[in-house]
Amino acid sequence: MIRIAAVGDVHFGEDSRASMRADLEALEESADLLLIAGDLTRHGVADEAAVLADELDGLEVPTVAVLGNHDYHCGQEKEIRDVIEGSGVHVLEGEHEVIELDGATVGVAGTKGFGGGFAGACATDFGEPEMKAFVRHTQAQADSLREVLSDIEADARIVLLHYSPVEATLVGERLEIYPFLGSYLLAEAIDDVGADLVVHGHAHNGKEKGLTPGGVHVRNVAQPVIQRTYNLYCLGSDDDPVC
Amino acid sequence: MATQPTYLAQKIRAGLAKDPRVAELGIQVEVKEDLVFLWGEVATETRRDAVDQVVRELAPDFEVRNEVTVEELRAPNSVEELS
Repeated sequence: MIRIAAVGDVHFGEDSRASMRADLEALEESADLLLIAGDLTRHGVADEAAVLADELDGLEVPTVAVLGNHDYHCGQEKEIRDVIEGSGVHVLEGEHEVIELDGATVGVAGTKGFGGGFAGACATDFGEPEMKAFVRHTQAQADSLREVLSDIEADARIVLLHYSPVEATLVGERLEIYPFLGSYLLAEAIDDVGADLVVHGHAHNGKEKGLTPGGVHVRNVAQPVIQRTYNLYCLGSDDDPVC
Repeated sequence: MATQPTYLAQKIRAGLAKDPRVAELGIQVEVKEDLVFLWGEVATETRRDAVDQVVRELAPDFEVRNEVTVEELRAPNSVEELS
């Protein structure tokens, strides 16, 4: 079995210091892996990332994160990534990481993702350059996700996103903003390859649980949704089905 | 010419997103007559106060009813088993 802790949208600033540390230290007993689904900072400055880096520094559990839209707001996404990686966290953008656990391996494919909406009500690669750029950015995100997910050789495959691949975990948000919260292209890439779990954030007013059209579990772990420091999930395996 | 409530509400939403003291996209805003109503959830009391301050700067002639709440985080008390 593989025990996963996951949270997104922690939106750290100086006033967040020590808000999660005690619960994070408890992960040593309860989880094999911690996933953070983007929006690490409030408005995308490296100083805010430094506070989160302090919070995560020295944790025993392997931690993997992606960036979110807030982390890009001030053009410091590279600095934010560097600061977070300095605390030992793997930050992924169109990349994967295979984590060796005691008796199993888990591969995490991570990317921010982007919007565009869902099949039947989505943006199209057509029209003005700005519209085409919007759609093509999500297509590029989905294409890289498909590629890095395919490259994973591990007992379990997990996808870590900021944007949502499905509508189901957006229920509660206004319908009009669904195109800014995710894209079916992300689910299509995941279903083309297969995965055991998808974790995302971004939709603070959404709901936790969904499925891709191909049947992959999707969990919206934005902190305002789960109302917890993190949520805990357990993936059973053929050899160890009991969690 | 008075600003239509719809546009003032949107100006406030945009201001709450862009002002680095707040940087929140999820605060709900409604403007009725000379009142601005705010709902939503933020992580700390400091951020709630910042929402209040920024809105008063954006709408100085309006009364602000700030019903934004501060989220309370708890550790998980269960594990979901995924097959």
